[in-house]
Amino acid sequence: MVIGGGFGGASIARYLRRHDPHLPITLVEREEHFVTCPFSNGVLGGLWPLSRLTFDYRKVKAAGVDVVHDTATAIDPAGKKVRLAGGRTLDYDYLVVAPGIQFIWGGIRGYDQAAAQTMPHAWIAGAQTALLRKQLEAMPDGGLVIIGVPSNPFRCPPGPYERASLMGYYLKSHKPKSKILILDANDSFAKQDLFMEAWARLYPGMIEWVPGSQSGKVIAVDTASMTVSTDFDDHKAAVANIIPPQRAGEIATATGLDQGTGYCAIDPVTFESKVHRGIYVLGDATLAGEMPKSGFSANNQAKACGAAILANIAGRSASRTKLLNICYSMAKPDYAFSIVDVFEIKRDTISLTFQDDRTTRLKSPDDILRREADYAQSWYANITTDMFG
Amino acid sequence: MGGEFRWTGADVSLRPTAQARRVVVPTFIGSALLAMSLCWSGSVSAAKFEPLNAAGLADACTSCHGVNGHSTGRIPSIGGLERTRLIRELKAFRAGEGEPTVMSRIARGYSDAEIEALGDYFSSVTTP
Repeated sequence: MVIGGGFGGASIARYLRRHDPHLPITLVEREEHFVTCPFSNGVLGGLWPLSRLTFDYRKVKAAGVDVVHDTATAIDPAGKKVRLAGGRTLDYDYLVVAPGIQFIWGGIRGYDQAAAQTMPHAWIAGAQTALLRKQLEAMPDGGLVIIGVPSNPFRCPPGPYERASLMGYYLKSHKPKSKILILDANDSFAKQDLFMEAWARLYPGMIEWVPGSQSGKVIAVDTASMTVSTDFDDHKAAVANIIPPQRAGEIATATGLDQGTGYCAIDPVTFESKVHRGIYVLGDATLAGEMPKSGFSANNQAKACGAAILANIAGRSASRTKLLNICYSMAKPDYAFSIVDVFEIKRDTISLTFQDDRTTRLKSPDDILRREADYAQSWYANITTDMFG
Repeated sequence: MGGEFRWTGADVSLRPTAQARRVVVPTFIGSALLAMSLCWSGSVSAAKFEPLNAAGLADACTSCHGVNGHSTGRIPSIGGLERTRLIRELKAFRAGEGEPTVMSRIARGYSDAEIEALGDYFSSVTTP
């Protein structure tokens, strides 16, 4: 049984089905449609519509996966049962928990679910993405857009900066007097030099980044006055995109899989929980060594975990492998750059095989940046076909 | 195919662990026997061997190159390509030949044996 139909859950359901046509697989997923966070910054930049990122489970069902649209509310690890909000209780032999993230409401004073209707997070894609796009469209030229970034770890570490870039792409052509202020709890970020280079080249003077050490951390908001506050400053925003702090999805924390730490410790080969045997955890909900919280990571983890479960069923031990994470960030439709991570297990944790020279080079010529943008499109088509095609 | 060797199993573990692990015994073709006997002779301890898990290594690649290495768009399909070409190109990427690209960074993470296992795997894939 798999709980959660995103990059971890849908990927492992498809993987298991491809490798064993007879294995009974149940996928429990709350929503009838899944909207990907990858490529959702493109919606904010006006590059493509939200419908492009929206997938259903028809082909997952057609492949022979029993898709149950319900919410898993409790897991009984000893009895190997999952209770659903709709009242049913399902038995499992192997359980994969891939719930993504939940927000820590109240982590920023004044920021709760109601506040997110005025200051969208858009960090779970869908209605929130549409709302933030609508606010950008309605904003007057010359308005201030604030992006609030929480402390690491959070879902999609380069995401806020790609978001600033693609908002910049939209604003430059439609509202060129506007500004984007990134208020960051952190002092550095992924692909920082490449983002800074892109902003200077493409959106000079438009995007400003305030690190945590310079009072960048958002500590409070007031939606009535559209004020975003740090230790020292109060900023009045026309549009405020507040990304709250996060932890593993509800079903993972409710089952204690995170041991109260917020994220779930796993075996680095099999992704089996260190808390409960027979339960495996994937994607953003995990503590996966140096693997970042990304859809790519979750998809890669799903395959390793799927292989481990099939090995266990066959009475074999799982083989270790190398895992990958390749992350493209777009600065405009024909300008992208990437970081590549190759992982292996060192000292019983998932570690980078090498640290140096993992990103696109600074001062790359336009044809390289264009090619990486093409690769990003191709990657998106291939990984979503893997999951939903 | 003389001078090359292939693993018979997807998971090959030569690493001794506390638990008993299944060891899939490789079969050899041609001079691989010599190559392996060199590996096993003295200077390299058995504990330094990592398992070579061709299917697992290949699974990671498919997050970009598509299921069975069949891609749409600019990322090339690699499923069903000729083995020697796959291995030659991966090694050329790793050596930094040609203009820098995503693959010239990724390939740095793989040994000769892993690249050859990937060549074996993707050259044998046929169904889209």
